[in-house]
Amino acid sequence: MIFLGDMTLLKYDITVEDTGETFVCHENEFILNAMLRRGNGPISHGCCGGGCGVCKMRIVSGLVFIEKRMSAEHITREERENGIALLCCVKPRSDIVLTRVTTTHELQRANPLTAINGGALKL
Amino acid sequence: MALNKLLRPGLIQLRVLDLDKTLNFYKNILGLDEVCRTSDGRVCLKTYDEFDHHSVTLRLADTAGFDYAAFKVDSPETLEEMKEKTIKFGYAVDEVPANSNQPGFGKRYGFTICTGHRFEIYCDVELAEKGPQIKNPDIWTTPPRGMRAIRLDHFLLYGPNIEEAERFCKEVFGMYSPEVCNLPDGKRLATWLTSSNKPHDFAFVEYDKPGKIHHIGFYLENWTDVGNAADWMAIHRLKRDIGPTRHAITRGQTIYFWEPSGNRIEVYSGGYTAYPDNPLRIWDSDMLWRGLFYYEGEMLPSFLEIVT
Ligand code: FES
Ligand SMILES: [Fe+2]
Repeated sequence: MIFLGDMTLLKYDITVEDTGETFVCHENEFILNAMLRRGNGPISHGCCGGGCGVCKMRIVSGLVFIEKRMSAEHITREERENGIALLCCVKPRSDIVLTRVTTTHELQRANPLTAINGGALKL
Repeated sequence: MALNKLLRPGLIQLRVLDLDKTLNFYKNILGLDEVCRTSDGRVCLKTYDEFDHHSVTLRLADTAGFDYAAFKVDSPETLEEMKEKTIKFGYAVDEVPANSNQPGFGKRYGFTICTGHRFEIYCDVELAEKGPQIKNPDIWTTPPRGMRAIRLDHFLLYGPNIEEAERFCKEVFGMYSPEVCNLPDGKRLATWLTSSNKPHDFAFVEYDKPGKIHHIGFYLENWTDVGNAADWMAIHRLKRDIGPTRHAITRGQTIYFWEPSGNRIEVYSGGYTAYPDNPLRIWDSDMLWRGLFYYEGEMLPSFLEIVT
């Protein structure tokens, strides 16, 4: 038996517009997993399940496949139509350019947790 | 273990985004048994060591998170008494008829507290067909699977005005706080509440958005089983938040991670024995990290802010 490993998988470049960073994501990998695995990109935490909304970003260009359901609390229909997605739910089908959007978390900066967290959640 | 008339959190209903994948996690990785399905497609589950009909219900929805939690009380008299006290406290109470939307459960009274969470109380529930043995009992009937969860232990809820919520739990449910965390101005940031000798049956953190859940805690037998749970997480690539580590608060040995729909789960063992007459333990908010993650002693930004 010959193992082809990931040689048979298509690889795409994911570029984060805000920082200019680029990382590779396989066609069968969720973009957030690739970002966490490579340790670059603006997101360092999250549920990886489509539930918490931390990994919300705008897909400026490129095609993705939405494999997992994204919580309606974090992605409205309109946002979805405008290319906003939860990165833990989508896989690339081309090279992708991403940019940051305001997440529900950043809107909650007024809560007391922020004071002790120092607003340190890297999003 | 109950000391008081409120026995325990007996049931939690959660919203999930992918029923098949998430159910597979609860059954084959966490180790719960599927008890039944409802006519509207929800799935009822329990641990191998729980006696009552079921303790976790999963509902497919377009958001993840908390639908409600139900607490078992010791008698029909307590049930009526707590219902009256709840109304007097100022929350509107509704009645869910026996054997309606939760198979096996008797009549429940439900109400929404100030934090935006729906709580229910009940005193009757059928015993599960597949419960622990009671006559010269063996420790299990079929070998516990996966992480070998023993019981639904506790949950942490996020919402506004936890000072009122704490007062409700004390005045109506007869619970007590073994531990609290205060902000520099003396306001509550977090409170742990119990009705038993467990360090907590649930806890609250002050948060501006109502009705949020931080995690659901399942009890494991010991530190070795916490390690076993970590192995299962790694093998199945479940996203871990923190652990294995130790809490100074509650003293539990713990791991936090996320199930496939993004609800945070804690697997937890140990913990001190709480008594209502013990002095209250008080944490300053700038020491909270040490209380939460005793070994690390430092902040984990994802931990406090990510909720469903
Ligand atoms: S990481 Fe939670 S929704 Fe993507
Ligand atoms: Fe917990």
